[in-house]
Amino acid sequence: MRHVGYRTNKYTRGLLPDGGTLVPILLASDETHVTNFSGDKMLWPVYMSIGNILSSIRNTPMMYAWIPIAFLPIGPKRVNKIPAYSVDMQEIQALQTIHDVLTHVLKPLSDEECQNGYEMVCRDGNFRLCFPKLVCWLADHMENATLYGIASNHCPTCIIPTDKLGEYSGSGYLTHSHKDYIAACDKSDASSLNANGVKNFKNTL
Amino acid sequence: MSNPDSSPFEFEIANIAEIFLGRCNSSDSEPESEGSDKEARDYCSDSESNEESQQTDTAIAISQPVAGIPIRAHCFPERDSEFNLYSPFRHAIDYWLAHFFNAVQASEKKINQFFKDGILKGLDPTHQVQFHSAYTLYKLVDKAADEPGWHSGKVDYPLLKGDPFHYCNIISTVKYLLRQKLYAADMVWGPQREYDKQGNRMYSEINTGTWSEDAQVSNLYEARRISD
Repeated sequence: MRHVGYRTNKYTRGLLPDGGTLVPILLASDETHVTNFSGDKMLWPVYMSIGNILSSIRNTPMMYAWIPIAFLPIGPKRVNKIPAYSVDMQEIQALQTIHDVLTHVLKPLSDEECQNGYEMVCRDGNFRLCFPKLVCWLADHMENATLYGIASNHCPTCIIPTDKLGEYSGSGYLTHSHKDYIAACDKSDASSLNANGVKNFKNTL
Repeated sequence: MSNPDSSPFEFEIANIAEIFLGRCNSSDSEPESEGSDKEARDYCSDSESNEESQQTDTAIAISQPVAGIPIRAHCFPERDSEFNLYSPFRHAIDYWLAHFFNAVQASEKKINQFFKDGILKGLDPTHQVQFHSAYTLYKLVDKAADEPGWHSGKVDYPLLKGDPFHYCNIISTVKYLLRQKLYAADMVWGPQREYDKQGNRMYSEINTGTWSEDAQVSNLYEARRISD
């Protein structure tokens, strides 16, 4: 489980006014193989729930508290023999496409209207001023690598060297500096990004 | 009516009257708005018992009075005695018949055979069922589950031009979840601190965490790592 609340971004920023109600948005996704022998179909669903529902209820399958909110497009397999598109370029473009779609899906959370709060009907029979904030994304490592735009042999949280992964370090390692990555991405400074295993594209998170 | 011996529903006929007519009678005698609560309690009986055993460790729970405050009251339409709880189904019997087909996972072919055999005529000659085929049944079921609505878009990926993707509006989905009756008794609206009998802070739900409290209560919010 990855917690996106440890750093502020456009989907989590902002304090709530007195009386406001935080609606923690939980997302979960995993690319799913659906069929064999008929085109090898894949689905990439993104599910959503809210943290206001107690976890014992939320995690009971028959309560249907996790709702599919998006089916992401799955890019074609990387092809070597296209002169105009190298394999690396295809990978970056596929990532950028997924993040563009995620930006579109999550856009309502970064709108100014959302920063001011929505009056929502709650089931206890009251209106509340609700502030939906993205707080959590449940995903496995490969999914995290896609969401955070890192190479799959790097840690999505800190800048531990790849040959030290799995080893305990008492002092710990610095976390990824997302501000620096954004600045490097704007300057197209691919070398500093590659040094930390970060891919050069515009990440929605 | 065709010969029951040749009907694919022979083992179910005896149950039909008992199951969905029985349901109709009970739902008519009870207040309609309690139906979903009962289902929720039935579904959660196991999880609630687990929760009770966990709650014995929690000695004190302190809620923050400045967060999650209601603005004004809302009256749900189902409190109106004329509200049709089974919409888009006209009557309870229509809903429970659809529920029965879904519960036994009847195929489209079997549903059509059911209406072709005219089995319902023997049960209640005065009632006209709202649907008479699998197609009209599925249309009604789709209408009952049309929230939150789906939208479509197309990506402009050079190697996969025009590939569609589908999504719901995330705010509409939040609104949909917040007003679900099924979760009414198990929702939290503000941060809460929990302590055990020794006075140690405990963390269980999202609203008992430090981040949740800081975001809603503290004016000194700072980005913090999950390990803090």
